[in-house]
Amino acid sequence: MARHLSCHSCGLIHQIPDLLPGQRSECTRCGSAFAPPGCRRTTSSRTAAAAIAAFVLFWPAVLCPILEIEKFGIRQQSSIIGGTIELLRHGSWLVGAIVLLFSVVFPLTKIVLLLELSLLEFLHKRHKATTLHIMEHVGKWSMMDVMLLAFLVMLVKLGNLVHFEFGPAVIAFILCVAMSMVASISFHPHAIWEDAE
Amino acid sequence: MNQPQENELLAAQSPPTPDQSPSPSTEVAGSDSASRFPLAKIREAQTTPALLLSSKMWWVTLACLLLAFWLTWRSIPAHGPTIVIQFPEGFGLKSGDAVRHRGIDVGTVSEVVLSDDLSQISAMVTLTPEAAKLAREGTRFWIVRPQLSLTGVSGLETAVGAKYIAVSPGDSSGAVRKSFDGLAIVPPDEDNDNGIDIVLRGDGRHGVTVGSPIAWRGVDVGQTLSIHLSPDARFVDIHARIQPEYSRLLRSTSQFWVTSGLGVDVGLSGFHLSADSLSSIVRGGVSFATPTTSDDPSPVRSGQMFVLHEKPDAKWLTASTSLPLIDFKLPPTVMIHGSRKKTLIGIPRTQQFSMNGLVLQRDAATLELLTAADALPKGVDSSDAANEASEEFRVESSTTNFSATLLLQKKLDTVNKHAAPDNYIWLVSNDLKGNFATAKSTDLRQPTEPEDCCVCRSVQNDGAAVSVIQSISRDQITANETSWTISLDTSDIASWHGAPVVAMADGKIIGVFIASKSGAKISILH
Repeated sequence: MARHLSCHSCGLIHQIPDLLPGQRSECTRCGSAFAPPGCRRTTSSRTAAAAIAAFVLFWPAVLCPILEIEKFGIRQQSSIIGGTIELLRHGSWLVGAIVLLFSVVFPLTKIVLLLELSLLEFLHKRHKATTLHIMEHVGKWSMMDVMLLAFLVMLVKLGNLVHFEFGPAVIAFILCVAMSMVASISFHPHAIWEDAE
Repeated sequence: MNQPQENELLAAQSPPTPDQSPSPSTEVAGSDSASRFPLAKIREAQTTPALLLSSKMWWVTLACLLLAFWLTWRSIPAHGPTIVIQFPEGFGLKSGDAVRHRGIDVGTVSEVVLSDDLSQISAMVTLTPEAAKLAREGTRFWIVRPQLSLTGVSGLETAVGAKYIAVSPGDSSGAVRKSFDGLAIVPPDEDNDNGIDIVLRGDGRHGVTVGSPIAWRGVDVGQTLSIHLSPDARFVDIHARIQPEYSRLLRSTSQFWVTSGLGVDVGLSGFHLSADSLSSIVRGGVSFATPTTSDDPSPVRSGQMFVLHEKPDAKWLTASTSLPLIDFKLPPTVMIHGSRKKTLIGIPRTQQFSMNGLVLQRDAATLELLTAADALPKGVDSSDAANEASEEFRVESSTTNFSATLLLQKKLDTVNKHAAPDNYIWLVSNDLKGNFATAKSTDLRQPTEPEDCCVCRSVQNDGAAVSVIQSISRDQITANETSWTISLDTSDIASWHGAPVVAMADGKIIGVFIASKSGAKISILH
């Protein structure tokens, strides 16, 4: 039985021939690879592994002190959540909400949804579609990596003015960003429909 | 809207269909059962956990899990005991400020609140686990703030930065406490662990302030701690502390007088201005002397009272009692001048050297010379010493200015074998006779751990010998196996080479001072 798949890169619909082991199908227009049949297990396993890793690292990244600033002998430790709460308390509602939403809520939602899609077999088709839809939208606005850039800017700009050290959360943060990237790369939207076909 | 049509379509496609809503009974009772039952869906077997866990990525997950736990565990600060300190004044102390002891943080202020009656502040302090011993009876706390006075500036780091709470630990055997009363001012005796506390009673303050120096011949040996009125308000009582190393200067016959201000004396002979140090002009000062008396002056214990005179008696200054800072006799040291003949490419040359040493009377017949091991050339031990007929020592006793030239090379039988160049050696001689002051075997002691000591040698002063010492504190000593490395801030260590090191506690000889290019050390007796 020939399968029909649309290329996930350019959208051209192809008829996928039956493949021998060691072969793979490619798009005729853009050359990107199609998910081989039966790839569901390996991709979902890998995605789930990366998503769980990202989920586990997310909490120390957000809750542990990420920066330790020492200025004129005053030592200050701040975590991402602590900093956000401080912003909200100072009345910067807009900035605080943006940071909270894009650096904490959206990344966490994305990770959880990825986990859900890759791990749970018994989801209804309609539920899967909704989850995938939400994930694609939320994922666009998950901007943990931007936060890293902000730290980098601070390191370069303020390095001479104040003495500051990165806390243990930075390692967790960097790894969390990396793992959620790995999870979304290894996630194959086609694969989740394989059972339904 | 489409529902019925779809149903019809489905009905048209499906092969033999009974009516739309058949009753079970009619279905069973009806025709061929095989074609009429709906075909069961074929489905892949459920993904087993084993298959799900097949990806190697799960090892990364495991590693991340462990890392996350470790990071969380590490960032939870270890808490020691929490204590409450009451201060009369906060000086801008905030939560998050540090508690410091000897320059490092031993805790943080977690909260500062006003007391109920608004007269005090309470600081909640969380100590680090290592500093838990500070929460004991007798520990004193005070807030460090910048203080400018004419004699010095203190707490300058808190002028721009955060205030901090300083600690002076109490007795380690004190009972554990959770609540403390902080001090309003810096305790003046912070740096002195012990010393002699005395009270000076005078008829006025005479310009003496808290922290004024107490001087002996112009050298500060103590400090005033507090000034009070006497109970009957007729006198002023000045509490003072003499530093422990100078406590021997203080005797029951000591006389104290005020040295504050400038003394201007205008007479026929001219204009005479006398002043002590700038600090004592501004802050006032007290001097003391211990004049000679017929009876032996007894040492002073803490708490003794002295009269504070307004002017010194001329006799006090001229009559000088010999009050040694050390209460033992220094061992008689000698200078060893040696010359060794060397043959360099067939050309004989004489190398001169000199070092300190000590002559010890081992028994009635044997004299031994204790000095640094490099008095002997390298590689010489008792066996081939006889062949090395080129060593010549001249020992000079500085007490009698006596010189003796002798050859030791025949008597090297019992010289320590394999003495390392940075060690000490005993040179044995049966010939070394003369009017030497010698030490006895009982003057030696093997030290067990670093202690306060001094190195002593003799210098010539108009033909007479004078002993000079350099004291070495226990803090300057780093103990090794057979030697103590000492950090001295003087560059003049070569002149002390080979000199005996004497323990401050009992005056026994505990080692030999070795000056080498790498620094100073003490080769301890063993």
